[in-house]
Amino acid sequence: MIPPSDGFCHAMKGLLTLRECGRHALSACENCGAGLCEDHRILTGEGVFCPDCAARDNRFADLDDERLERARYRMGNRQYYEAGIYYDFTHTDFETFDARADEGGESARAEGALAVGGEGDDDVSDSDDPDSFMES
Amino acid sequence: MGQKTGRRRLKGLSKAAEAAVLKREVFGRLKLVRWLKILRELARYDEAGDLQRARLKKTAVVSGVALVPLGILLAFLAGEEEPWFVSAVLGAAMLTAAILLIYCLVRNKRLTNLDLANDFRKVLIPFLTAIREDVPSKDKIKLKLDLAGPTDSKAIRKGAPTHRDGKKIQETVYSDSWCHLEASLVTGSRITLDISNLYTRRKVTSKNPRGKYKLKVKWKKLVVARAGMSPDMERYAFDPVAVERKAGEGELKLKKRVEGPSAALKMKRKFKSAGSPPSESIQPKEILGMFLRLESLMRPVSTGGQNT
Repeated sequence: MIPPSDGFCHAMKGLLTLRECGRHALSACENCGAGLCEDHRILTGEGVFCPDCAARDNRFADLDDERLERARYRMGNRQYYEAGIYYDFTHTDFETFDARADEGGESARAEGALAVGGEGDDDVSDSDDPDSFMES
Repeated sequence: MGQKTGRRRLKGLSKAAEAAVLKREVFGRLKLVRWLKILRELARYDEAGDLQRARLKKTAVVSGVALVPLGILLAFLAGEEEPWFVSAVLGAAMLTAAILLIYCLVRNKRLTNLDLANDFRKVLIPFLTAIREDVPSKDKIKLKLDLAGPTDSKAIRKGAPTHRDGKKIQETVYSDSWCHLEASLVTGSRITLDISNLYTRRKVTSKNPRGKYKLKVKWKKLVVARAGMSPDMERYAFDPVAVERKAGEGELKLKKRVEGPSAALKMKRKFKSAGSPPSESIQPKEILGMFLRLESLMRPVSTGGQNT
């Protein structure tokens, strides 16, 4: 749990480039306690939640909100994000990464993620030829 | 005349959206928020137009169906000694139905000329909404959209009619490259997205045992989406191991350019329908998935200058 006392928004933002928001927090998530800025607080009848907690909660399954949609998409594609390559790396991260690369661990983990993530690739090898398209 | 009707129909649209509807294309470099505003306006216009056309079609069918019994009744009464006003009422009803039918057909045709293909609102708007946090808010996005759909000018092959099993078959193939997008991400990587639709229309004319000709129109649609990514060379580089693995699967293309390497993935989806072109297209989530897979090929460049 992240204390809201540090005054910054800890909601995750982005889909292609996952990172923490980092803006000044106005409130905190009632579930995880993360600080939330104006853009990332999901106001519900049950209280204020961060997009990730609201996306996990079935009570808000019908909420139509683009922030929740992003959070749900991130949940559905967790294997990409958990490979760890979507965060902006700090210097410490670089060192850890280099050490693991020498052992070949990180590469293997990323490759595993790729294998799991391949969705609907069956058609990719088809040609553009209109004839072959009509043959199907 | 058509233009005048068009202008009246487009009342309430912004200048940019009106120009887009009249030309049925959009291009330029704007901020993401501005693009979304214009595209959502176009989506609202297109949805309203689709609804109105559906209503007109329904009214046209009802009017056409009403004309037949009214005509038969009028012809039947013509030889009878019925009061004159019965024939007059029937004649007026027939005339009204005929006028309504003509009005609906003409109006429907004019609206069809200003109709936009639905793919931009089903694919592009959700995709742009989803990547809103990934694109720097001050950066401009290059977008070129062709919203006309499969028109005659896009026919790349119109085959001569062939005869098979007593059926006349004519195929026309349309190529519609409707979307090109270029944008920068907050990581400095540049992304490109190209979506093309290849439509095949098959007209089958057959004669039934009673001697009547029947026409069936079938459509197939092949959607090809290409997602490209070139990393900011100072921060990221492609991981040779991951690239080699993906290249072996035959779906990834890696290009080495002067400004740096770029990778591209391609995805295809097929749809079919009868009567009108298929309304389905590739899912926005599938496009996001392609970009995620391209991102997964990249590794941060270490401070020591070593690419991992």
